[in-house]
Amino acid sequence: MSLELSARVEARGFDLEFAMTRGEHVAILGPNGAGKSTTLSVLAGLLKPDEGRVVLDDRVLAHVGRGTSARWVPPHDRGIALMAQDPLLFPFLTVLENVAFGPRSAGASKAAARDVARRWLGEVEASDLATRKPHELSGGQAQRVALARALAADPKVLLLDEPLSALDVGTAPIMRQVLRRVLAGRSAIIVTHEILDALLLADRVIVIEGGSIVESGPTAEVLARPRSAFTARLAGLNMVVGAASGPGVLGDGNLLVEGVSNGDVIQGQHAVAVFRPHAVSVFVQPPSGSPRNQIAVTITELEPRDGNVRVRAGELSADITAAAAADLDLAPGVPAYFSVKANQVTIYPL
Amino acid sequence: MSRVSHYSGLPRWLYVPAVVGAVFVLLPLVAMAARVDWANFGSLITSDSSIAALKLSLRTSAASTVACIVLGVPMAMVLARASFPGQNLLRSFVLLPLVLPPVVAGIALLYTFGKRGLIGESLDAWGIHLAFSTTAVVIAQTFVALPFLVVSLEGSLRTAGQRYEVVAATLGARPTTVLRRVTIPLVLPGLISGAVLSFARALGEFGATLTFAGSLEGVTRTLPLEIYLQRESDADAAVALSLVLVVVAIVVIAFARGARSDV
Repeated sequence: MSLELSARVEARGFDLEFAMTRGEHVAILGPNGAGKSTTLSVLAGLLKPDEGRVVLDDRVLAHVGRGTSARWVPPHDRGIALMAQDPLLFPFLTVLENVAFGPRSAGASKAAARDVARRWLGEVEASDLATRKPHELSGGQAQRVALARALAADPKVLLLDEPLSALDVGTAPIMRQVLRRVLAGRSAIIVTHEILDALLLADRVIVIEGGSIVESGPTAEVLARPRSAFTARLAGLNMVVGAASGPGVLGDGNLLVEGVSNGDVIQGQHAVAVFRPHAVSVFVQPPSGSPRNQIAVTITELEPRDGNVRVRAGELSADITAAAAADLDLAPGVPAYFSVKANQVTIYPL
Repeated sequence: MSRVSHYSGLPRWLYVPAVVGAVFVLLPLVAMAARVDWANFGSLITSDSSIAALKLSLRTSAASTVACIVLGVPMAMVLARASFPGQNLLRSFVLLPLVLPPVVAGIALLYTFGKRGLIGESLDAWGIHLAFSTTAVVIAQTFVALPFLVVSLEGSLRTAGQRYEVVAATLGARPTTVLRRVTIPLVLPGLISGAVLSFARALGEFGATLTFAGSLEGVTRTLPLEIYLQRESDADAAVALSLVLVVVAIVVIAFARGARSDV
């Protein structure tokens, strides 16, 4: 057991409880205002709940409300670092001095702190930025430096508040890979609304809605069988989890989905193929001579969605126009073929 | 630097009162500069009494600026960051010297630190006599100049927000480290311009100084008091010294603007 939280904040209708083990990565998902940031604030010691308890490695960081032995460890003494969506690099310090801030605050000498800073800048592939000022960095660079700064403080738990949401599509994959690498073996809580981040960065997800936990469990399981409406909406992406095989992923029932790999996919290791429902075409007869992935399915559900029709077949879905759906005469129970081009499928290592 | 002209959206008639206002501010300075006896300018501003007054003014203003920083920075921090009952009331009282007639401030100080004052009596018993001393000048100047620093710095602190301080704390920095390494550097431009404004206000202080500290040459007679006295006997000297104060004021404003635009 490593981190344990229970907290109630009356004014925000917030009441939840969870625990995580050392080295575990937990993703917190939920709509805006669900209480994701409140969770992080209570853990970091920035918000005092009306009632609650935070315990990290047998040390009581907060005990508020019940009982007489009230305790409130200030943020600087918790060993919990927070990295926000906005990198918030100190504008008056160079990149190197920003990263050296944590070690310096912990009492390291200037030279020692800089050594630590250089090491972490290397870890996030930002060594060449050391002498720059924050205003000279791009969004992606600043976010990587902020990550290095948080890690250089050597926190027992790292809190990441939407670490990728401010990045554009071009830089997010780089940051995601860096995160995967540096978070290995380190306890981390990642607040996100990107399903992909939860899948790629976390072992377990907690879904919060209205200030309490509505769902939790291993990431792939929760996403595959979403029980809350929020998760179901999020889980719109098609994902086939399995073993990396050739240029694709071999999933349950010998289903091979080929795609373009993103990151270091190792043959035979766990991987996931991800593709969007609108990249999927639906056929009633098997399309012949097509270089596409073809998946034989049985339609389970049809639902209108944003002017289109979402065709569900078990865990997979396709978005097609209403006219196409009518043409194909689709209905639940009808066998069909889902077809998707390999260049529309991204393979990620797990 | 090339200037891009954007649509201003201003009605044309607005320029008329704006120009009148600008002329209203600048014309008296021009009028005064026109009356300066340039031939004797050097000797007028270097007379013994003038030099003594200028030196005293610079010395006391510098001392009161330091006092404003020592007292005003913590006041601004507490007003901007802490929350306690009566905070708004306290803020209003801190700003009081800003709107109080300086003569009234002088009388208030006299009844506080004077021989028969609230704490002056006890100080007197300890052999400390503040009224009508150079220290009294510094006290009077600090009293009237302090709000300038507090207001300027509190504004900067609020604009900067607490986000950087929160990040610093979660990185393991103690509150004193956060103050020294994050907060102060972050609001430094505001602090500098606040200090400069305080200095300027202290330099121009007249009413409170005259009431509380008197007008003893070399001890409490600062440049504004000297100008007021000279006006009776030697108008040319008064005008010349006034111009010196105008120049100092312009330098101070330029300095404050420079600090602001550094952000």
